[in-house]
Amino acid sequence: MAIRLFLPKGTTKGPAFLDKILRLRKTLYPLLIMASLYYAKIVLSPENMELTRVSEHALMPGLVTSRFDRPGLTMQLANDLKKLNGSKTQQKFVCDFFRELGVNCHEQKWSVDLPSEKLEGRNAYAWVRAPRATGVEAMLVAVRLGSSDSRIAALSHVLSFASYANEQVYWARDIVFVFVDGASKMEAIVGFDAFLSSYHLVKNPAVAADPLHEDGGFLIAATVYEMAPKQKDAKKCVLSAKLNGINGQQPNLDLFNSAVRIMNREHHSCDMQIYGISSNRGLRESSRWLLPIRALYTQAFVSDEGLHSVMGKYGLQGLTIGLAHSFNPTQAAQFMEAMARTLNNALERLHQSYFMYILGDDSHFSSIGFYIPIIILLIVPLLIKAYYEWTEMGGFELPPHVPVAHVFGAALFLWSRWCLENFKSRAALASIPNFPYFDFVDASRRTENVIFEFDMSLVITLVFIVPWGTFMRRMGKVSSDGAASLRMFIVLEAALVLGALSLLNFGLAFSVAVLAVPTFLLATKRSTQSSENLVRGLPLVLCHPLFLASVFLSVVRPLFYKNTKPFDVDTIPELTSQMLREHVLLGSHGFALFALFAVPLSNLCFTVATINCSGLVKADRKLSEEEMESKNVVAKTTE
Amino acid sequence: MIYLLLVLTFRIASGLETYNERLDIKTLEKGRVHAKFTFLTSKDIIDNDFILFPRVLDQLVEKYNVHRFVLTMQQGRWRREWNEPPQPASPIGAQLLVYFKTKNATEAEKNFSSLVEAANGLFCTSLSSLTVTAVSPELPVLEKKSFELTTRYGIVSKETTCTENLSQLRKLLPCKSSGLSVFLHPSKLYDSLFHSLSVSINSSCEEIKCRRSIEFELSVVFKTPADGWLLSRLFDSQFSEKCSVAESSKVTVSHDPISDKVKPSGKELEKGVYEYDFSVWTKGADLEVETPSFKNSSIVQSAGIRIWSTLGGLSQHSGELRISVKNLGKAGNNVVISQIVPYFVRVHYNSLMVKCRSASSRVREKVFKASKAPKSSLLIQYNLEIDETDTCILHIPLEKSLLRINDYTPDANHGMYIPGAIATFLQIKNDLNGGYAVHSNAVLVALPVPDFSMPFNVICFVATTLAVCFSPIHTFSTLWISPDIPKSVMVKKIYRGCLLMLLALSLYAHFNNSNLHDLRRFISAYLQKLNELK
Repeated sequence: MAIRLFLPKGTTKGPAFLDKILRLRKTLYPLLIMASLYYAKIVLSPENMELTRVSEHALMPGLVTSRFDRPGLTMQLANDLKKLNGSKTQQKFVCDFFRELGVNCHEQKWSVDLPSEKLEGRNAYAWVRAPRATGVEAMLVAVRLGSSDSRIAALSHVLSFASYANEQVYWARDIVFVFVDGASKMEAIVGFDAFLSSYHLVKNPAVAADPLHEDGGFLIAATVYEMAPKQKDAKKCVLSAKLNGINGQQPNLDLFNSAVRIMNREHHSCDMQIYGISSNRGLRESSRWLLPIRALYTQAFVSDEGLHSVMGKYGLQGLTIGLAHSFNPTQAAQFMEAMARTLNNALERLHQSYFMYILGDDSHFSSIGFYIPIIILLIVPLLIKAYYEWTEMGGFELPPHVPVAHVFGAALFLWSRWCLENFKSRAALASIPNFPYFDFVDASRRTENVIFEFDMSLVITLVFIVPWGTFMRRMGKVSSDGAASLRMFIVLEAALVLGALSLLNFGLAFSVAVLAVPTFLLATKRSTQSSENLVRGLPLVLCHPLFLASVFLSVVRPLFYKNTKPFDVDTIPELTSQMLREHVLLGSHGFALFALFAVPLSNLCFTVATINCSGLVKADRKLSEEEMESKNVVAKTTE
Repeated sequence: MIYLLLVLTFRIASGLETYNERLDIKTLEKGRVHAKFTFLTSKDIIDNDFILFPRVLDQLVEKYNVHRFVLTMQQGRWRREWNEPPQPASPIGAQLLVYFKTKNATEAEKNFSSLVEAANGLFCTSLSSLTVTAVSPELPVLEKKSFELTTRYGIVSKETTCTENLSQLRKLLPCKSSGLSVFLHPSKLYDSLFHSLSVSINSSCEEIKCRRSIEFELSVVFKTPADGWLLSRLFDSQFSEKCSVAESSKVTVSHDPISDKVKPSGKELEKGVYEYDFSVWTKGADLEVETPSFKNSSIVQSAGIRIWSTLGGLSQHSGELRISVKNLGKAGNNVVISQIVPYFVRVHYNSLMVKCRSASSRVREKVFKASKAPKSSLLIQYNLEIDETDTCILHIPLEKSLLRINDYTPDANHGMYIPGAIATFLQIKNDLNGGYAVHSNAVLVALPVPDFSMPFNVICFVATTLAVCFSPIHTFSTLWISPDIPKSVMVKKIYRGCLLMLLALSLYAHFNNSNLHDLRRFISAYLQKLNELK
């Protein structure tokens, strides 16, 4: 009979279940990742999702009877807008229309004056005042200006609704009508952002905008109207809803639910398209997984979905609704009236319902409580790895590589911003006469003594893609404890970043974690074989965040969107340029996350993957021999 | 006989008490008509007989040592296209301005809180949540009048006025169902675009003789047909009989003398203004105004100032209140801007800033009246000299407070109100008589709101933490040295076997899309088959 000796106050070891986890860690890593994906499959299945409900009872969507009755005005406005032909701008037309109604209307000029970006536009805006209200609150209705048929249709619907709304006395809050100028979608988003920044008295350093001429109250919610995509069958009634904002922000679910309730009450046969996919499973031919996966994809990677995308920055709950082409003018305006009257009923800011959710279809959603275990299961291998390194190390040492990698990442981030703010798309290296120096200049500003001209986004991409971590390993000798600390730091930081990111932008966190977690586990694997380390370093080059993101987008995007560009070498600089542009113009955090966390961690992975080749192997071997010897001594004494 | 005696007594008494009523009607813009009622009752206080003057108001003034009392209630916004707002200027909601005869601030404080409750009972209001501030004698608030007296001023931005307020007011009038008060028809008055009601009580004494006056004013903006209006339809009631105790009962109608037609014509006070004496008005007679070609462009902008407040910033922690003042040049250059800052936002005096476009516009004086009480408000006053057509902006950076859970209103996510600023003119040009003040819009601050289910969460977290911590602590503290007796290997094998079987069964059920109901049905069918075999 063996006798096990316990200390009077417990054992010197950690809890037994943690020891067991450490022993089984190599089995647990793939199991947990697979469990996460399997759990995602269950949770994201619309059958297992919760039913949507309007949590804020005061909204009472679809319970009012819409009374708009001016279809003639809509048709007249559409005709007048078509006939403009440059005789006057649409902004002037809109303002003249409002002034005839006795409503103040103004124009707001905005511009972006960066060397690489020259944009400008004129928004028009009008306040329909709620005559009997306190005026401390308002709701916003926005629409894009434009001369295409669908833009004119949306414009005429909004204008005729404004004329009707102006004559009603029941409004509890003002209605702000904004007519956004911008030739492309990105321009219009920047223009709308300019309006919102002026409204909230904040400055966007990249965009110059006129101050507003009217005092505005607290914006309770906003709806952007456009026409839904045209259907092959012209009689088919299809509305569309767009929800995703920059940085993964989504509007309060009550807003979307209200739109769906109104649609279902008034137009039973209509279908609501979400993320471009029909939400009616009976009508949908595609897979039931497509809608939730597309929800994750758009949340992660589509910052410029529509005008509503920038509302989240201002704490404004808003979505874009595409009105059905099959709607007649009365139906379209009555839908807008119903939405406005629903928001008119709100007593408080929209806060009762969910802000973090994944839609399965127009009547099913998964809330954060249900889907967050997906990312937790993905993060747990990293935490086990960190715990393992912690138990194996003799003492914690913070190697200099960690601060250096992060400071370097921050420097690259600032440098990239500086490049965008000071250079056009092409830069040049020019020699300075009489001096043995070179000058790094904008290609369009200098044509003399140019030695080499190159694309700016390519330069930025190359600077980011270089595996600086392999050079960082030469910064000094790293002890065994230092290497373990470095490994622990990498996986712990990755786990924390992914965890924090999942609370802001689950789609992005999930997409990154699926690829990053195996990469980190691979990169931080302990090994004593130099050849193994070298082999391990090679796939890390392919696992660079920029490369992974480009391939991911190229592979995944065609699954959702037709006519997408296949992956080629240009995709990577284009992605860098797009991230940087969205960061500077719209305030997207994607580029900051990439430069401040993804790139430093990637470089640290290079460092740690190659560090054993530089003399650490011997130290480790020596240490393991010493450990074996000490264990033998202990065994002998116990015998 | 008794009736005659009463009337006689009344006549004698009314020599000391007077009552005047007046109604001014004006077209503001196409389809918008403004009606302003004024009921003025005065009394020399030499005895305790109250026939016209409400005794209850006299008691109120007497008990709380009040020199002047102004209460206003307003619903709806006065649009700047409608020129000057009715005076005394009223913010949306309710405001109360009281001058106390006492110079003792503590006594005034005590009197004010009691007076608010008394006013609540008397006028059927709910002013208890007033944002109150003490007003310094250096610069006035709301009106030009300045007394060396203790003054208290408060605003409730959210208070709405309703028929109950009007009913209480009507009860205080000498004629409740005759004279111009027949037009005080609640269903019509409250179905309007703008509604403002004010009560002003003045008490002045010279040696031993005191005189009290009470003025009720009611301003309403109606939505009317574009081509004109009829007096009986405007108020949904017809003039029945004159108020026999009224000294005067006048109605004036302002109109465009070129395009408008007024039937019947009245006494022309000035061009475009007819006056009618309703003490001789025939019962059932009506007044009709036709405005077939009224153009909004014919309105002459004569408002002296435009003032508006905006709250900026996105943070939950801080923001900026911006008060913009544009001098339209009709009322003068010298204006006092007063802003009450409630306790739930904090202001640093050194961060306040005034910026004017014109270099010659300047700050003449500034007064900050801080209060020591934890929940009372700060008063910021700037005496500005603003050039004509110039705009000055007062920047007030704010810090939003995280309040105690009980300090939040039940609808905490609605936000809290910061009252609008008040612009008061000190030097009025000749064309505008009397005091003149304008209120800016109130602003809604979205304060950081705690998770109101926090106590529940705390209990859950603490209980879970205790449970998790207790288990290892208990285990480790109760360990002892013992022989390690190996358990039966067979039992372990059976246990693991059972688990594996369960796992296999679950997988089988999953891949065959079977569920517990199928299993139950299968078992019941099997048992049934066994029974049949018997």
